[in-house]
This record gives sequence, C-alpha cells and structure tokens, in this order.
Amino acid sequence: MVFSSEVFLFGFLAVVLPLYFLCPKKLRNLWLFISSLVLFYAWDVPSYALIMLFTITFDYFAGRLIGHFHAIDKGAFARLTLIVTAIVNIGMLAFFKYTNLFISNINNLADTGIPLLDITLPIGISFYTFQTMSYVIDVYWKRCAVQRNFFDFGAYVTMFPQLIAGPIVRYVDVEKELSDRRENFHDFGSGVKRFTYGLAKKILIANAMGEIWKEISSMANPPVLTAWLGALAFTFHIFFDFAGYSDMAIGMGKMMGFRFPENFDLPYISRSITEFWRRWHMTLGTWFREYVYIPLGGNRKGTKRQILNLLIVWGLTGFWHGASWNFALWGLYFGIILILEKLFLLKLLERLPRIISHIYTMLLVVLGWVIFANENFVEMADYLRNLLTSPAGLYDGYTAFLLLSNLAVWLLAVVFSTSLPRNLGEKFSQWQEKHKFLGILEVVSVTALLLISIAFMVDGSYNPFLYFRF
Amino acid sequence: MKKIALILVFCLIIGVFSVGSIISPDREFSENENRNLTVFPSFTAKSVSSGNWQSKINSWYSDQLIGRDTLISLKTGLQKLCGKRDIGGVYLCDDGFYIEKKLPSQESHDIFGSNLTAVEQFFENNSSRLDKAKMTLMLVPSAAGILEDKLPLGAVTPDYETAFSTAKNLGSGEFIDLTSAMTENAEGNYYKTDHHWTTDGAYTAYKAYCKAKNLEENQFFPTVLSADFFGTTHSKVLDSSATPDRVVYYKNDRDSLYTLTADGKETDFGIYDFSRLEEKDKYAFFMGGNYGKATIKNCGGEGHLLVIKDSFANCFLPFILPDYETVTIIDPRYFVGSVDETIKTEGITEILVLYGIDSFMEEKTIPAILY
Repeated sequence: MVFSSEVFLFGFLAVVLPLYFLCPKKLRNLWLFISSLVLFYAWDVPSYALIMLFTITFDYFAGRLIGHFHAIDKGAFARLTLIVTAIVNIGMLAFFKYTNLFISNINNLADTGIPLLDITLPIGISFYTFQTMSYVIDVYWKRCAVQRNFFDFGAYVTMFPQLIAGPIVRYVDVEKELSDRRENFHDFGSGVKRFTYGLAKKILIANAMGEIWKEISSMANPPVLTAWLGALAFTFHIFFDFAGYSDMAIGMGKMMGFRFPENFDLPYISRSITEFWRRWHMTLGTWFREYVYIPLGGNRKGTKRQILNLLIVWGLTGFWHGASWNFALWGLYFGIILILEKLFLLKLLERLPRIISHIYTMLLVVLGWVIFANENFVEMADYLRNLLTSPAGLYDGYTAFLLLSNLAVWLLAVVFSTSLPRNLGEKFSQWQEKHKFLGILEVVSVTALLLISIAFMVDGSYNPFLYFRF
Repeated sequence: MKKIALILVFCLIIGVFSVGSIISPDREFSENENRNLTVFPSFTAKSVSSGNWQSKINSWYSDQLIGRDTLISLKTGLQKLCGKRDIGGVYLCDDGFYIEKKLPSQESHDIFGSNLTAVEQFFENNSSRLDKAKMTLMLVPSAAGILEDKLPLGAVTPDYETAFSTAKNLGSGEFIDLTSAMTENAEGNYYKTDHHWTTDGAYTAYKAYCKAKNLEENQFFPTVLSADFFGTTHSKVLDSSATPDRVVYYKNDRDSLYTLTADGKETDFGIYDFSRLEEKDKYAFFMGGNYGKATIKNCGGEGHLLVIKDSFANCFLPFILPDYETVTIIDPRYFVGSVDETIKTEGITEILVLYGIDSFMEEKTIPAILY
C-alpha cells in the first residue's frame, strides 16, 4: 500500500489508528504487528507477507539462540548462528533482488539462453532485511537485549510507518519504546504536522517534478538547457519523494509514541560530498558504517585499507539501491569522490568561498543522479552528452515553457531544499510563545496543506477516456 | 491547545473522507471522464487471495472518494493561479481554448509514415477496381496547428507542416489539403473545450472537398442544438471558469430518411442521436459515436461509399451522404473483419479515408486493416 493513496489515508489509517488507541497498552504491539502484516503489507501481494513472516520467525529464533549461547558461554556457537542467519537473510535478499541480473549477465557474457526467473521483488525487502539484521548483529554484540516476545519483535519489523521505504530503524533505536512508550496529545499533534509536511512534499513537489522528468527523459535529444532542467527535476523529484516518505513515516511513528531517527537533513545545502552523505539517507549511511565499515576496520588499519573499505562500502551502498550496474557505478562514483576528499580535497574546499564549494557539490550530486536515473548505459551517456552539447542546440521555446509553466513548483522545490523554511519556522515558534493566537495560523495552514494534497492526490487517478465507451 | 486542534482537524478530515465515501452511494459512470467508475467489489476468498479484490478496492477508493470532481477543480484552480499552462495533457490557451498537448516525437513521425504508406498501398491495391479519382485521403488539421497563435508561450506542436506536405505527394489516389480552408475563420472551426472540429469547421472542409472534386454543394440549414457543450479537453482540465461551446448541425430534407445499422443492429435514431444532447459528450450526437462497422442506407444518391475513419468524420459525413445510395463506415480501432472482403462483396464504388491529423500520427490500427 502506498502512503499517498486514498485507500491508505481513508481506509487503512481510518481503521487502524482508532483501533490502536482503543487497544489496551499491552495489546498495542500485537495490533500493530497484525494490522501492518495483514492489512498493510499483504494487501497488494499476499504471498510476500509469508516471505517476511519467515524472515521474522527465523531471526526471532536466531536472536534467542544467540542470547542462549552467550548465556552458557558458547561464543563460537553464537557466532555460527549469526553467520547462518546472515547467509539466510542476505541470501534471500540476493535471490529475490539480484538473481535475474546475474542470469542476464551470464547470458550476455557466455551467450547462453538461461531463462529469467519469474519472480518479483517483495516490496520493502531491502529495508526490512537490514532492520532484522541490525537486531541479530546487535544481540551478538550484546548491544541490546534479546527480544523474547515474538509479537513485539514482529511489531518492530512490520510496523507500517517504516516498513516499505524506511527510515532504516535499527532495533536499538526503538528497543525501549517497544516495551515502554507513552502516546500523548503533544506527540500525536506533532506527528500530524510532520505527516502533513511529508504528504505535501511527495504529492505537491515530488510528483510534479517526476512528471517533468518523465517528459524530458522521453525526448530523444533535448537541447542542453532542457537536459539540465530534466536533471534538476530528477534531483528534486528523488529528494522530495524520499524525504516526504520519511517525514510521513516519522510523523506516523510519533503519533504512536515512537521516535524514529531522522533520515534527511537538508542534503542540498551541502558544501562537500562528505557533508552530503551525512545529510542524505542518513539511516542507510549509519547502517553501513555500523555493520560493514567499522567491522571491516574502518580507518583504523591504515590508509590503504581505509580506501579499500570505502570502495567496498560504497559499491555495496550503490548496489543496494537497485539490481542494475548503473547503481553500483553511482555508489563507486561517490566512493571515489569521498576518498579524494578525505585525502586532500576537503582541505582545499574549506579554503574556497562557500558558494564555490556548494556549486561543486551540487554539480557532482546532479551528475550522480543522471547516472542513477539511467539503467541503460547508452542512454546515460547520451544524456550526459546532452548536458554539454546537443543536436537540438542550447535551448528552444519549450525550455522556457517547462520553466515558466511549472515556475511555482520549481520555486517551492528550491526554497524547501534550503534552510529558509526551517529558520522561518523557528522564528514563528518564538513569536508563538509571546502571541498564542498565532497558533491558529499554524492549524489553518496544516489544514489547507492537507486538503490541497488530497486534491492533487485524487487527480492522480483521474483518467478521462476520450473515445466511445464500450 | 494547538496540538489538540491539529489532532481534531486531522481526525475530522480523515473521518469525513472515509465515512463519507463509504456512505455515499457508488457512482457508476463519470460524465467528466467518460468511463465507468469502479463500484465496490464483492468479497470472495478467491479474489482476496489473488489480490484482485484489494486492487479493486484501491480503485474504488480513488473513484468513489466523496467530492472527487470538486477536488480536481480546486486543484486546477490552484495550478492556474500559479501560472501552469498545461494541465492533464491540455494547453490552457487564449480566448478560452483548451487544446490538446501533443509533443513532437520520433514515434509519431514513424507512425504517420507507416499509416501514409498503408493508405497509398491500399489505394494502389484497389486501383484495378476503382478509378484513382474515386479514392481520397483527407486529413483534418488539428486546433494546435491552425490556432497556433493561441497556444501559451513556448508551447510546441508536432511538425504538421512536414506531415501535410508529405501527404500531398501521395503516390496513389487523391489527397485533399484542408490547411488553407481551415485557416479562414479559424476560431469558428474548432471547439474550445473539445478536441474535435466544429460542424462549421466540417462545413468549411465540405466546401473545399466539393471544390477539389468539382462537385455541386448540397443544401443545408445550420441549426443550433445546444449552447452547453463541455467536451473532451474540458474533461481533462475541469476548469470551473471554462465557457461552453455551441453544438450546431446542418439540417437537410433527407435527414429523417436515413437508416443507420451499427455493428449489426439498426439504430432507432437514424444518424443523429438527439438523446446524447442531454449528456456531457454531446459530440456523440453525430451518429451516436463510433462503431466497428456501420452502414447508412437510403441516402438518395448513387453509388456505395466506403469510409475508413476516426471520430472526426462523424460530423462531416452528413454533408456528403446525399451523393450516394449507401455509405459504409469502418473504424479500424473497433472493426473486426476484412476491408478487402467488404469492398469485393458489397459493391463499393468510392473510398474515402478521413482522419484528424493527430490520430493519424498515433493510431497503430490502420495498416493491419488495410492490408
């Protein structure tokens, strides 16, 4: 189920949230587990829920087993359990996600005709696999206690706000709240605000930018400036889509008493790629740092080993994003830039004026998105070339049209990528301290934003059929 | 206090939309969208396990959301306010015109080429049975091409000029070029809220057609049917400030004598379906819509005309009906059968291929029918 849909807002939430609060506190995790698994996750493809249920059950018992082995001082068995669990979990992820890529690569290289498997990727598997792995690994490292209650563990994995598109919530992040959280009006209200902002980001900005990107990317050879508009459109589309989803997740989590970690912190104000990756998809960066980079040695085994570790981590990070080689390239692209920055570039950037380092960063980020957006390497190369020179020239009338007709969305996208709204928000909060009535303004704007988002959301399904109906 | 207000607002909005959508009775058909809306699906074990029921519920929620059309108008209003000039695939143009947005593309260029070749080949194949002068291709320029000055700044259109000049070099049969005819009194030739040409526009084309074929014009009396027409392009935008179009038809003495047999069944309204004037899609007044194969008899003239067409022909054909005894109409989108068989067995004496230029650049169903 998609958050920005009528069935989710007016079907799922309308039923699940009231029942959550009507449940006695002890049963709330159970309700969360069941409603998320059965009504939310199994909704579109029932069989995927069985796959996730298997992972939950397996990892629940793995956690208990590891805890047991620690308790009877058989560290080696605990380690073995961890390894088997990792193989099963990562194995399942690899099987569903990467098998067909593997097969088609073999077919291309060895000229064989192995048929592709008729499987589709269970939605969210990249996210929930990383979450369950964080639990098992942290139990092994004794960073958290074993979760003895199957339904509490299940609730951690399946809870609908973060199940499909993150943030990647490590078990330790919500360990305490699973057993002891206090839902209250203040957090619920806060959650409503956050959720509304996320919904607006997704529907009003991300979707509009997505439309622009779709139009430009389907042009054979757009003029140079149009190609740049397309790259920018994708840049904004992916940010507002992803950040919007995270906002909605965090907002809904808050409504139910959970404090999920932040996932985005104004990444497009960054002045280096190092900074960018501390602001973009932060929970993924944390996961790779905690469970791959640091165990590999991080930067504690000399520069050469650090470079290797970074390349491994970034190759994997890229590849995690999709079963296609352009994603791996995208990851390595950043990996290499990060290594260069660590070696000498960062010091150089610090001496340059802020605007230069900002342009440097955004240029690299936007080019990165062009790599990310094109799975076909020929199309990718063509698009990159169009950014420099195009058979259609520098610009045409339609370039201006794309800019002007969508001016409001372009402006919103730029403004909400900066710290301006946040700063204004803080000023506004200060004024509210002195003049309580300003609170009304906030309620009115959240209401308006919600209704406007719903209006644009409904339009998505609006589908006039021109010809004679049968 | 403020947080409580936020919570109330949230619950109220979710509540009103969810409960409202459930209690309000299901709409079965959307006039604006000209399609059937999803009604609440029946709950069976099989449909749930296959995911079918759930996907219908997804559509049901979207289609039956309370206040849907109002919300879409609200959205359009906001977009207009922000300066957006292309909404739902339609350009918002000067003087109240809503014109379909078509971008130039290699694909449309290729489809046009293959359709033109197919028609040429078709005429060539039939040149042993029929005189080349009796096989005609007529392509109607679109509003975007003729009313280009009304499009918003920077809007682009497909390369109609090249398309028409290529068509002029049709290797077999005759091509009638309507560009200059439609440019005169251009505004009256196209609907503001629909992608079709007006009956006045079709009449202008009829005059050009007669001139090209050296024919005497038949007599008609223009009659206004409705001043309340909101057509296809309006449906895509739902702009509350749009002004409606007038629908006109050109009456003549023989109208009531025509019989129309559509896909095997004879209609009870002849060629003009007056009941459609009560509905939103008033253009369907002309012939009642599109059929795979339709036959109009008792036209009062001589000969049997075969027309391969899209919906643009529907308001044009009444002008030329009196010149024939029978007219057979085939729409490749819905026709199942053989055009060749039809020509052989039904005594066709003349062929007309009539399309709006936009669909001639998009329709992939034409070549298969003609070969």
